Amino acid sequence: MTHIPEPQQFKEFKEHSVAEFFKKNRQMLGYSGKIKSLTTIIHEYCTNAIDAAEEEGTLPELYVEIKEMGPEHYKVIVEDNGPGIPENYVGKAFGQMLAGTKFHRFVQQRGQQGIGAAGAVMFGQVTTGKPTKVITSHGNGRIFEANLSIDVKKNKAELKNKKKYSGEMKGTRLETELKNIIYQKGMYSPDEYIRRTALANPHIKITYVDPEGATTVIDRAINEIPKRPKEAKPHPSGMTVDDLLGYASISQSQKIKSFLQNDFTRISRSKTNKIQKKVSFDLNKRPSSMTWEEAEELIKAFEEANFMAPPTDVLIPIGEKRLEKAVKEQLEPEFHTVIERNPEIYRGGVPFIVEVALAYGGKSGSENGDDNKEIMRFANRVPLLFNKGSCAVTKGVKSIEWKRYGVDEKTPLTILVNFTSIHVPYIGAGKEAIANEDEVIKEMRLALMDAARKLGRYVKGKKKEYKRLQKKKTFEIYLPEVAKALSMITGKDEKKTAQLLEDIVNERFSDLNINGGKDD
Amino acid sequence: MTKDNTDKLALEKLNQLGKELMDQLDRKEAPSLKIPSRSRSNVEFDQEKEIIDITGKKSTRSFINASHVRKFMQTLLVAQASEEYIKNGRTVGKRELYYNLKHKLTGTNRNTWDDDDESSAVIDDLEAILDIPRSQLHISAKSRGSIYGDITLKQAGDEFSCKGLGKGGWAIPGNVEDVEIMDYNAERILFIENDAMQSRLIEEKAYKSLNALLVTGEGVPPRGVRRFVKKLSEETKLPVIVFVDGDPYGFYIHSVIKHGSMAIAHINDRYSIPRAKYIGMTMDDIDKYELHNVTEHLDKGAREKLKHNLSYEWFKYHPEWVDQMKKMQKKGVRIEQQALANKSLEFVADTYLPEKLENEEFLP
Repeated sequence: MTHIPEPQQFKEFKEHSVAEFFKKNRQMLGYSGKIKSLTTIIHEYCTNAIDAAEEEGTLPELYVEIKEMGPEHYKVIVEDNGPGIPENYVGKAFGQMLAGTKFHRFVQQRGQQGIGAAGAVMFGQVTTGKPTKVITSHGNGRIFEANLSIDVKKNKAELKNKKKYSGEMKGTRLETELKNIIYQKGMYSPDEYIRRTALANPHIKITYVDPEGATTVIDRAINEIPKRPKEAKPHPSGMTVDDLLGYASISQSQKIKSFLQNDFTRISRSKTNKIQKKVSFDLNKRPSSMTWEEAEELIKAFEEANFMAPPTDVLIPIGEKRLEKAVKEQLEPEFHTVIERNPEIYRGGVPFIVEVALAYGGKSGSENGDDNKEIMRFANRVPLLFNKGSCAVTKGVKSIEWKRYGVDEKTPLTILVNFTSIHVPYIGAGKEAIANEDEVIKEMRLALMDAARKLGRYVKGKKKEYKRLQKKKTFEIYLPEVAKALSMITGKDEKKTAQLLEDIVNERFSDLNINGGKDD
Repeated sequence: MTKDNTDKLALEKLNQLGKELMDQLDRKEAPSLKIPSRSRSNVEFDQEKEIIDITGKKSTRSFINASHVRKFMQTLLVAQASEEYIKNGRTVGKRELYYNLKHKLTGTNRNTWDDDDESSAVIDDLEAILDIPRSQLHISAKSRGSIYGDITLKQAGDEFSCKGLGKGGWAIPGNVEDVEIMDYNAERILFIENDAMQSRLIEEKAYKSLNALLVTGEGVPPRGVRRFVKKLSEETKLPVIVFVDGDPYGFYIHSVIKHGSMAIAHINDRYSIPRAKYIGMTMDDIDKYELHNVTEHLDKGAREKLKHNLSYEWFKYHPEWVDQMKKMQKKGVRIEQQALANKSLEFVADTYLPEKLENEEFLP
C-alpha cells in the first residue's frame, strides 16, 4: 500500500496547555444550561466537520444523530465526509484545548478558538465519565477507531481500545455520551441549529436523526464549495488587548517589532518606528513576555497610527445567488429578497460584509416567537441561537419601522442576517451574539431597509392583487343574472351572452390571469 | 294613447335597450347604460315648459365597474321582469316587484337586493333610461286618493260613474294608463289636499254647485293621482284648481301638481300641470275671513320647509308664492283648509270656494 500523505492542514497543529480551561470556563464556552449545552456540542462538532470537508475541497455531507439513552442522558453522533484524521493526530485534534488548526490562522472561519471539539469531548467526559469514540478514515479502505479521553492534569489525550480494520469509509465519526442535558424542540434546539446551518450553507447535505427517531434529510441546494477565504493577517485597528496578547503568545517572532510587522497587515517598518516612540517599553522584547499594560499601550498607539484600511477581498460571504437558492428551497417563500452589501470596516480596521435575506410566506415566519417574525442570526454562516436580545442583528432588525413596509405582527416573515468577517466582534467568549458596533448596526439597517422596501412593494402589491381578485369575483357573482336577463329581453342564447360577458371580465383582469393562481 | 299603444311603446323601448347592450357585447365592449342623472345638482326649473326637469347630463352605469355592476344587474332584472309583466297583462306594485325579483345570487349569501329602497331606485332609473313612466312598465305606485264627480270612466272593461259610488269617490289606482274617459259634466277639476275636505264637499254636493270634479291625493298626491289628473286635464282641457292648506306643505303640494317633483324630474312632463291654479288657503284669507283665532303656530319643521320652498327656483319664479311665504314667516302662523269650519260646516262650499271661483281669485 502506498503511503497516504498527511493532509496539509494537520501540519499546522500547535499545542497549548490550557486543559483546565474548560472546567473553569464552561459557561463562557457555551456549556451553561441543559438545553443550550446540547446545541453547543452539535455546533462544535458540525463546524469542525464542515470545515474539515471544505478545506479538503469536498462538498460537505453530515450525519447527525442524537440518541436518548436515559433521563437527561444522550448520545451525540456526528459524521463527516472530510479527509479523516491521521491516527497520530486524533488525540491532538479532539483532546487538547486550543490545539486545533484555527487559532493562529488569520482567516475567516466558522470556529475561531480551536477549543470547540475538545470542549465537547470534555463535557461528555465530565458528565458521564465515558470517552468519546472516534472513527476515522482517509477513504483508503483502512479505518481507525479509538476511545478518546483527556487527562486533564497532563493536558493530554489518551486513546484506548485502538482498533484498525478495513472498510468503506471516508471522514470522521464522533460519538459522545452526555448527561445533564435536555433535548427540547424550539428555537434553541439542535433541530433549529441544523435547519439554519443548512440555510447559510446551501452546499451542505445534512441527515439528521432526532431523539424521537425522526430523520430529516436536507439536501444541498448548490453543488459547489464556496471559495475558501484567503488567509489574512489581522489589521491592528480592530485589535483588543485580549486579541493582541493572544496573538503574541503564539507568535513565532523573536521580537515584538517583528511580531507587529510579520503577523499583522498594514504595519510597515516606519509605522513600527512611530509606534516605538509612543510606547514606554522596548519593542525588541519577546512577544510572549508582553504584559497587559504594555498591550494596552500598543493598542492606544495603534489607534493614533492611521493605518491603511485592510484588504477586503479576504471575505467570502454566502453570496446573493446562493443564499437566494437556499432560501427558496428551504423556506419555499411566496416572496424573497436577498441583499448583499459591499464590504465595510468597523473599529477603524476590521472588514466585514452584511448579507440579508427576507422570506415572506411559505414556510417563513416563526411559530415560536410572540409575533410571526423569525430572526435568523449568523456569523460567518454559523447560526447564533442564544443571547438574541444583546445581538447587533436584533438591534438592527428592531430599529426598522416594519409597519412602513406593510409588515405587521401577522406577516409570516423570516429575516436572515449573515455577518461575515475575519474577526467577529462577539459579546463574550460564548460566541452567541455580535457586539453592537455602530458601523455594523448601520450596515445591517441599510441592508434590512433595502430588503424591506422590496418586500413592502410586494406586500402592498399583493394586497392590491387580493383586492382585484375580490373585485373580479364581484363581477362573476352578478354575471349569470345579467346574462339571463339580457338573453331573455333580446331572445339571444344565454350561454353565449354569458360567454361574451366573461370575456369582458377576463379582459379587464387579464393581469390576474397571468400572475394569479397557485397552479403555475 | 290606448293601453295597447302604451304597451307596444314600452316593449319597443325595452327591446331597444336590450339590443343596444347586446350590440356593445358583440363589439367586445363592456355593456353600459346611459342614465339621465337624477341628482339634485342635475335638476333645474325649465321656465319655458314651466316644469322641473333634468338637464341633459347623463351618467353611465357599466357592467364592468365594480361599484355599478350590482345596480346594472338590478336594472336588467327589472327591465326583463317588466317585459314579462307587459306581455302577461299583469301590473305589479313596487313592493310586489321587490319580492318577485328578490332571490339569492348563485353561490353566495347575497340577494338581488336587500331592501325595497334598492328596487325603487332602480325602477326610477329605468323610467329615466326609457323615458316612460313606471306605470307603462306595468309597475304601479301605491294607490291612494280618489275622484268624485260627474264623470264616467272605463277601466278593465268596467264603465262607472264617479258620482254613483255612495259617499266616497272612485279610488284612483296606481296605474291609470288604461283608464278611459267616457263622458263628463264639469267645468273644473278641484284638486284637494285633504280627503276629509273632499268628504265635506261631497256631502255639501259641491260637485254640483261648483261644477267640479273633486280629486284628492290625501296629502302629497301619489303618482297615480297626479298621472290621472294630468290625463284628465289634457283630455278634457278643464282648468285644474288646487285647494290646499295655507302652509309650507300646502304650497309644496301645489308646486308638485303644477311643476312636478324633484324625485321624478326625469319624467315630470307626464305628471305636472303647469296651468294649475292655487285657490287657497292664503295668508290673506286669515284677514279677509277673520280666521285669526283658528291659525296654527308655525312650528320648527314647518319653518324649515318654508325655507326650503324659498330656495327653489320654481318658488322664486312666482312672486306671489314668495309673498305668501314671507307673510307666513312674518306672522308665524299657518291656516288649514278645515279651519273654515270655524265659520260653519257649509262655509267652504257655499261661500269660500264660490266667491273665489267667481272672482278668479287665484294664485298661479
